[in-house]
Amino acid sequence: MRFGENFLTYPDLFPARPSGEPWGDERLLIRFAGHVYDWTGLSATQAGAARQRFGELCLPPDEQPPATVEIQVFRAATEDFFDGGRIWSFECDLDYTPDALSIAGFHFMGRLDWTPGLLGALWTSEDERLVSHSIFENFFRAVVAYHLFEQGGVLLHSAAVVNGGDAYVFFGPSGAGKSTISHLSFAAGHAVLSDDMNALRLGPAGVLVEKLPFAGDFGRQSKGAAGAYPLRALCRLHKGPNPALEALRPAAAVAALLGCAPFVNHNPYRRDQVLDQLQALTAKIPVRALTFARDDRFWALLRSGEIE
Amino acid sequence: MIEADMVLQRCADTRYRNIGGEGVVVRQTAGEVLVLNEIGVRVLDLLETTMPVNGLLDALDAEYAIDRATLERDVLAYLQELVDAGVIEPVAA
Repeated sequence: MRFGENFLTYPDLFPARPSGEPWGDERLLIRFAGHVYDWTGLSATQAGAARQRFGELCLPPDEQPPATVEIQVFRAATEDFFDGGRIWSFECDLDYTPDALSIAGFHFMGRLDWTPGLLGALWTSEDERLVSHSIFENFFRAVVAYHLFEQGGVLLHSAAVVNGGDAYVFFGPSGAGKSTISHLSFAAGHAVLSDDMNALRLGPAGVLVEKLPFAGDFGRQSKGAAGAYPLRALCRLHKGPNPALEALRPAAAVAALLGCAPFVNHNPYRRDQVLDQLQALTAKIPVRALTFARDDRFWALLRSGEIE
Repeated sequence: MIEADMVLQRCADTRYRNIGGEGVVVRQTAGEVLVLNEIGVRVLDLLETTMPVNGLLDALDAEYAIDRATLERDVLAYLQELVDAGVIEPVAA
């Protein structure tokens, strides 16, 4: 299937460059994990909904720090998009060139261009539903994934839990148990950064896990758990009757992590870089296979670090 | 069917990385990731030299203490698995 056919009426007319008619002149600066994302061209309705969604991460209008990444929002016609009977979809199509990423999704088209800095552009037919239909967030996730990747980090489809000042990151495909382990950990008194997407940033002293405003089924119950935490262990999740912890061999660890690095892991022009970064990550942090039941016994295993 | 005089090569849409003695093979088109053990890594490394299958068998025969018949049976079956998985393909004559 050609790129965009799932979502676009005219896939061949996908914008070739970041230009178009802005929805309005509203600007929104959103800061997290030490970076400022500068959204421009929003309508008042779109900006209001995004402010409500991202809350205290939105900077006051009088604060204008230098932006890390600029994202422009443009108007698109309703008839540009193909619904196929859907009322919403979280999926999206991706297409790659050496210098750009194209994204087609439900009622939106997006581009990331390296100019050489990262520049985002979003075309949508949605005003009131831009945020409620997750168009804003879907595109934002892709922007953050590439921005983090450019800095040597990784956006990981994972749950991150803070225990004793350190973070444990649990990863695996959908259904592996990220939301379940988040609930179990939260009930046991641990702070959950996110049960869906977390930023892993490699530095000279180790790896930091940073909270991102992207959550899954667990929602945003973890108010207060913000900031960056040293990563103690990466755990590939498995469900089972009894908790067990096994070391993952380096190649298996890289392969498992690659499957959980969204947006960048299928990009043929970034494949070597993503392998490099995941290999560097696994050289710094132990990667385990964690089997857990629906109770908090796994925490005793993790704290002891005993592997089978 | 793998023949002894065949030359095999890694498919162009794959990325291969030796990590700690094991291999990670990424099939870009399919979006799949395979992990190869030590033997798989050795096979892929030997194929990078464009030697024919019988040369590969000779090289492995010299490295591993296993009877030739078993080696040929297992390696040919493994090469066929790699072909079926889209990791390697015959070089066009």
